Amino acid sequence: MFFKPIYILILFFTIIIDYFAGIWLDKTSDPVKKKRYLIISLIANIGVLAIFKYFNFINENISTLTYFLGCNNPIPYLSILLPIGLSFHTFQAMSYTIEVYRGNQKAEHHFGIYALYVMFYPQLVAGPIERPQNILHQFYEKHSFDFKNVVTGLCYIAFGLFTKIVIADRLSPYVNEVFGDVSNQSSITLLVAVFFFSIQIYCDFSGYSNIAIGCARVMGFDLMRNFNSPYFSKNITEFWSRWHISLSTWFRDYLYIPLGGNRVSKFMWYRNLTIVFLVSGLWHGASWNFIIWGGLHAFYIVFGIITNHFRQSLINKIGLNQFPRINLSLSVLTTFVLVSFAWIFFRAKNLADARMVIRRIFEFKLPFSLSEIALSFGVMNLLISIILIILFSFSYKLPSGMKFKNPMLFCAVMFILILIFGSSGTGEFIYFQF
Amino acid sequence: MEQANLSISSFKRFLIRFLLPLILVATLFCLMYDYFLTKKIIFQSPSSGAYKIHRMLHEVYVDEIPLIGSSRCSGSFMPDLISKNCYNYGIEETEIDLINLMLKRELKKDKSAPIIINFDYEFFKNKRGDLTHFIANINDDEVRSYIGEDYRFLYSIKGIRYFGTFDHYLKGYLSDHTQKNLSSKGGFFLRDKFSSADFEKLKQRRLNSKHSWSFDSEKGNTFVSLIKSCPNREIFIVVAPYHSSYMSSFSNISVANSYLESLDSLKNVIVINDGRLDYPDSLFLNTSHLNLEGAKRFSSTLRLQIQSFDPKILGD
Repeated sequence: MFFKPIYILILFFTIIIDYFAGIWLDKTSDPVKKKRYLIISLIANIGVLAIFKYFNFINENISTLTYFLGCNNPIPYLSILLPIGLSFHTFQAMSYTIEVYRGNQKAEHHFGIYALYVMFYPQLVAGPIERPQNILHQFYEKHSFDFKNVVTGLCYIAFGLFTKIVIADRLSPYVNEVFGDVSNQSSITLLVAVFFFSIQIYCDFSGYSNIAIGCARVMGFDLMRNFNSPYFSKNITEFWSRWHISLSTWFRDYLYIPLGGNRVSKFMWYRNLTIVFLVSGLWHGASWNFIIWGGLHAFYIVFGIITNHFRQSLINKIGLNQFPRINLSLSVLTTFVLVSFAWIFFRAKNLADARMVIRRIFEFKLPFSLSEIALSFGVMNLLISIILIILFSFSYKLPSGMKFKNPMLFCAVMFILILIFGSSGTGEFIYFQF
Repeated sequence: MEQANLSISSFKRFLIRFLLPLILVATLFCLMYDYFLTKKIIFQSPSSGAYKIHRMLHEVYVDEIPLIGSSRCSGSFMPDLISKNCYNYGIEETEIDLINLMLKRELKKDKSAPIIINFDYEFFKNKRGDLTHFIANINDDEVRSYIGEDYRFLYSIKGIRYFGTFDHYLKGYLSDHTQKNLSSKGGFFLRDKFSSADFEKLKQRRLNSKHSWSFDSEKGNTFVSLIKSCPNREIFIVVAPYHSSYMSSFSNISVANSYLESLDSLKNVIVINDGRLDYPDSLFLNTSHLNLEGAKRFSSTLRLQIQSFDPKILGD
């Protein structure tokens, strides 16, 4: 994942194609022609993504296959770098042509405005992946200085910086050290690292989203919400309605529903869910780890649907339904554990490492020694990290839309926390690699 | 027009109700935080590098015998066992530039007490110590030029300069004020129990690595000219014990020892090379550092060695 000035041409290429595809889609009423224009646009977008992100991965798998078949793979590997944020702006561009094709959005005739839609800088590299209906019209509105917008935006930015610099960047060295050498870690160290990574990736990504939303808001633009306390979800389906909302809804609208959604036979429904999550895994990265990560989530959801009736009966039978709070807490905890388990595949360097982490965790070697768990970072760092995570867990109590009675006080508190507990490392955002 | 007026009044409101109060609160906090961290945490942690540099630059104790060097100095020399006048200025990852800086400032003081420098075979390797040692002393021109290209404008802003370092200073403070380790007059000694299995691993790792003596003549000349500039100050250059595996992994130790001999020929210098003292494994923390017991034994030996040159030189 890198930025090279020449890569701006890739963006320029997809912008030109999609801009004209949009206009032609709007002009013609012939469904065959419409479909043709849409396909041209999709091929251009997916083609760029395939070359830069998936070519070497596919080629690597062809090589493995040909090796087993006893022959050589003649296709050479490409020596290319993945342009920063490619998956994000490609999906945003695709949503435009699809919406124009469906007639939900008028084609944008102003080239500058359309280019701005694809390249709007706050969300260019890591989302939220916007829809044309939400953002395009905002580029035509006049945006004058607005006290409420600016202050709310700054509150979003301050909170985003807090979650990134204070929580994610503090946990990152620990997680990196453990996942960098999984064979020499105890079960409990790995468990702590997996827990920390679950928090790290949430704080890192939601931190970026909040900064993006905040930057846009300061200028008077509204971006969609990308996270909604996902770790408080009662089940995996709910988790996906609260985690990376802009991507989940993208897949729902442009892949799941066109495949038939849940208005098909049960088998086809499960197949649709599986396809969506496998593609979602592949979207995150060209590696089997991500595909398995997506597959695991598909399995969780399908298994959850199949066993739903049985689980409800079991809850009623043991009387857990009499204690809704305990029932809710158990559901939230189970969901968190399942999601964290899947993160192992997301974070591990390769499949072998992921398997090693799981095997070592299930060896259940749990000698409790704080200094052993803390590794070279020290017990104090571990304790401060845990205290900050607990503090962060109360963030769900923040007012919706960051509308504070005293926003200055909130920003001041964030500033103080960042100054004292912030990490001065140069940890980049995890999702920049996608 | 009306829109523009609304915008201006909104901006005024932003300035008065948000930005200015925020700047005021942030500035006040930065000043308080800087004062608290500098005076109550950093300068109250006698074994921290930041305090030692501050003490060397700004405080004068006429009878004090400074012990200057790296972490090998701070963990191997027990000031109380050498002399009541000793103070340990050992800072981890100290190399020749910092030795020169400390020596220069010490020699500027109106004193006649001897100076003890712990000599490391890796003094001339180019590595600058942790920046946290220097941020609290950044106002000193020589410290600022020492950190060179690592200097950031933010280090000049009170409060902000400590961004990302709070844990480090707090850890140092707690180490000095709890009983887990022994901290005395700048010396810092871990009370970790010796484990022969762990030490064996360290030994093997050391034996599998290779080290060599390197020398920078410009820095070496500065060091010598500083020593020569103050003939009334006796300077003991001491090599604290290394484990035999460290010595075995060193390819050109004889060249390093020749350099030590050249220093010994200087009029006011006495070299005490205890690098090969035959200490058992149990006295080592790792192959280049003594542990608490090793430091006790070595410091007692060193006291006798220094007194053998001049019984009164340590002042007690």
